[in-house]
Amino acid sequence: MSFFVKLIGEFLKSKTLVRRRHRQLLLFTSPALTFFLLFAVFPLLSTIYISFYQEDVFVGLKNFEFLFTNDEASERLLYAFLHNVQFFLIAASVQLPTALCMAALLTSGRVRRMTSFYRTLLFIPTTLSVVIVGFIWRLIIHPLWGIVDYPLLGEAATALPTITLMSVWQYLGIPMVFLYSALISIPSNIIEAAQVDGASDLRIFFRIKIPLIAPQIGIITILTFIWIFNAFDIIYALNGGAPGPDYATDVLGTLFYRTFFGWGPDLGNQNLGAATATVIFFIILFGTAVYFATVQRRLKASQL
Amino acid sequence: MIRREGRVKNQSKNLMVHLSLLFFAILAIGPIFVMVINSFKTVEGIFTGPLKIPNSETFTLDGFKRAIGQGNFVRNYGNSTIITLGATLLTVICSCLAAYGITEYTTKLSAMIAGLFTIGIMLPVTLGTIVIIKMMVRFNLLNTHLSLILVYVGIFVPLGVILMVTNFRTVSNELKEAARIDGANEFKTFLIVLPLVMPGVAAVAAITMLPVWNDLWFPLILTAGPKTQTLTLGIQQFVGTYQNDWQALIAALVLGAIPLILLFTLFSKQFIKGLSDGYSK
Amino acid sequence: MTLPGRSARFCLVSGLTIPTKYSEGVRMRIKKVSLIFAMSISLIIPASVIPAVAAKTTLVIDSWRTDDSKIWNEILIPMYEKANPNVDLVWAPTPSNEYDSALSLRMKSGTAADIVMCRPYGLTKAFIKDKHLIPITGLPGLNNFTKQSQQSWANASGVPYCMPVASVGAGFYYNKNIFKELKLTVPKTQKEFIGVLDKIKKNGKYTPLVAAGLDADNWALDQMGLQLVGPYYWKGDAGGVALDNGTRKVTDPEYVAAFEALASWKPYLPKTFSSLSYSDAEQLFILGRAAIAVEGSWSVKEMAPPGSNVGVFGAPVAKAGDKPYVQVLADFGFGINSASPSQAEAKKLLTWFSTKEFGQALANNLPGFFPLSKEKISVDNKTAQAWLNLRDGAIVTAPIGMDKMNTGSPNWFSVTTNILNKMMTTNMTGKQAAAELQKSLESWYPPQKKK
Repeated sequence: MSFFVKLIGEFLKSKTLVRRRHRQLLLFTSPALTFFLLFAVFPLLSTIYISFYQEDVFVGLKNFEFLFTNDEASERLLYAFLHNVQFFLIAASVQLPTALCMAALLTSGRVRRMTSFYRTLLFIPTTLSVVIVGFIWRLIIHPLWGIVDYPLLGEAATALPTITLMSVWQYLGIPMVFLYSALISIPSNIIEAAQVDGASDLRIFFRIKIPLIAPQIGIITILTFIWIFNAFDIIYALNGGAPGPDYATDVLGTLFYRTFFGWGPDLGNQNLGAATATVIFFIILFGTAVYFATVQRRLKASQL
Repeated sequence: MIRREGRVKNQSKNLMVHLSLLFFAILAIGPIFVMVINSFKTVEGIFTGPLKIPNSETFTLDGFKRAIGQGNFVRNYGNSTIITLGATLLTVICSCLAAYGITEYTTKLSAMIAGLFTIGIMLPVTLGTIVIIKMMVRFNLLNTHLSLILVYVGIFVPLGVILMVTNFRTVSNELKEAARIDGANEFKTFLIVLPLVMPGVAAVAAITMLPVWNDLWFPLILTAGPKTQTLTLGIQQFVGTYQNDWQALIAALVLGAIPLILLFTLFSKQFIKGLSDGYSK
Repeated sequence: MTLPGRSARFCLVSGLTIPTKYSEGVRMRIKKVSLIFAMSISLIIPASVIPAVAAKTTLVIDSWRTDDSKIWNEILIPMYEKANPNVDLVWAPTPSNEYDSALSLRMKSGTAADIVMCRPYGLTKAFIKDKHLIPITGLPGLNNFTKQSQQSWANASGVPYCMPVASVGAGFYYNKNIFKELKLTVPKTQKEFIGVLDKIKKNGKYTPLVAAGLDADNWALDQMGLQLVGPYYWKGDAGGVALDNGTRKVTDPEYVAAFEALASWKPYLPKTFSSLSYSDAEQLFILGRAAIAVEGSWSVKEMAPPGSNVGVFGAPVAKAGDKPYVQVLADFGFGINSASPSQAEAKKLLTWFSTKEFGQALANNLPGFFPLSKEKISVDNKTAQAWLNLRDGAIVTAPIGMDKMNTGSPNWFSVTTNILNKMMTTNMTGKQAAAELQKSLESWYPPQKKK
């Protein structure tokens, strides 16, 4: 609050220096701001606005009421949310430790010249599009043409975890690179001091390195959360618009797609779609806020 | 005695690390490698020995010929290139300008703008698709490259700005002051400083190109027509259409994967710098 | 701050003067950057707003039949263009699983093709309601079709919106060689059918029965599953009308019997059925690994290519001697996008679709699609003829649930396909599936709502 007061105060000051600075600032940032506000912020806020209407008629919270009270719709919404949670839990529990392990191995100092070789190879899956990733893995686990006997993608119980692991395989590169750079930015004198004291590599890793990069681990976790609750691509690449065996692979993203664009003879409903999008947005917002309020603050506190 | 033991222990630890990394690398590259070798094989070759390298009997380019002939590939490549280059160029330009402004004219407002962009990195833009469609329809931009370029710039500018901000902060003030003394106006000063932040520019370009080229959602929604289809979308439709033509399918996937794999291996340093700098803020 | 010769020209282009204080290297880099800058912008902006330039009238046709692209591009379209040199036809299909949502989006944003292939009922009715198709009352050629065949593409008062084109049937392909090898005869009753499947399963060399089990292809379990064996039990069209009016429930014995007849296939489908896509099932049959495939007549080209030894048989009856029912679906027609700028030419094309010339070309090149027109059209493909022969001595019916129960959300399509897939891939029984469908209908379909 006081921030805004100070800001307004600055504007009111007649000091030409500040005025000139603001003018130059706005000049330089206007292209970026225009694109950002026009094509990212405005559509999002407008969507929230549309969700209060039904075909140009203001209906207040009616769309949300429908989403949360209608038997069919609320069941779909709840299960989509739970599937996102499942997706996130599996991804976080597999992706983070694996990426951390890879980053640790790369920075262990034991691979010197081969570091960039390994790093490049490990990142290549991230350069692929979901279409390619989906196809390759679907082929590998296909009961008919692949090496797996069990219909992983077809059974309701295994469909989503399988897709989750495919997605993890694809995007491991990002947390790996991120944690890698966090690890190499740890001042070497701390490590050396511990080594002189006789600590083993593993001990150094767990007792010193991890606590030091805890904030970065936190950031990549929350980013993963946001990306996963926004997920749509890989499921669409594998299933099309279909919601999966008994709706097992239906996540918030695919529910949004189906609600807005329709499915089969159902032409979809843009206001309901907008309401769904709004709900998704607030779920992400809430999760992010909770994260920053609790975890991140505690992490920063424990930093050296 | 102790020294030799120590070195053996050290060597075996090195070996373990190498083996682990090799294991991960095989997990990462294996599937792709298998796909690539199978794209050069005949159908019998694919089904009888999927893990074998094509020999003189099983080698063929038929898959590629059919994929290029039946799919829209040449046009899709062109579309993807135009869109990716356009979006990347505009993002780089806007990001550099904005970042220069933020680092140069520091006020409470600039801090606010920087904060806005920081939040912008995490914004789930796809949720605003409904309105984006309406906007594009209103301005007759549906099924044009421009529609995608505009949306992508809006999405990736925040990350670009934050990345460039860290780069611009490293530029010494003396250079700028000297330019100003010589009478250069602000924009010229900016241009003078620009070559010094080229590594940052490369990083922004690298990490914008990757998601833009591979994006499925917006091309599906905004440019699904055959004239403006991107490569990623084209491959997805190719897979849906030619489900039984294994040769053409696998060849098509390889054609889709090659550009970025190539781009990445050539510019891996910039990619990685971009990712690590950007998110560590 | 002036610069000599060459560098001055560079600077003219980029329009800036650079203080000579900075090294030549830096100056050159700045100039290069600005030049590339200017060039790229001037190239990209025009390239990105590509105008559509048309010489003669171009009509774009959208369809879900990506498989037929070769025939359309090489035979059917040239036929029309030769007779109408001022028209350019472009065949631009969309993969079938995405057709509905993609077309819906394009219609809503005004970028759909001029001519669209019309799905029976459901989607077309929704388009008619939202005024995305133009009515074609009195269009020359329309009277080549019976009122009944126009029904799937007309509004509630019978005003037609799409020119009917072809119908398809549902049934079983069987591999004659495998049947000969295992000494099997074509089954007519349910008992015989199960007997045949049992024998094949016991022999172990081949998969007895294949169908589409993947959830993304669950439409197949409705159209070629429930609606293949069902009509016999619910007595054809009457059974559909009864559900529509609410006079019968899905939990009544005749419908439950239909679900159970479908469920009886379960032990004979491949173990990994739930991962089997529509094209995987086709592949298994074509490769000779499956003896019987559940399919539609449109796939004659793929399932019975020249040189193969493939036959067709229809749904079994429960009691020997009963008249079998054969499901025939008026599968597609063509309609005109109300936003099309070339409606006059589009209407001419629609009339051509009603002619004997087109119908015969369709039957010759796309065997398994049966022209709906009243004209006499000969079928020379053996397997396509076998499909037509199924109608001899049988009662021809249409699928149920596709009209009145298929509007809004949820609808017959979304609910039934989901339940059928669940029934066929889990331990769900026919009775339980019918009960679940009835429960769903009662919650959103007024005539079935519990009174």
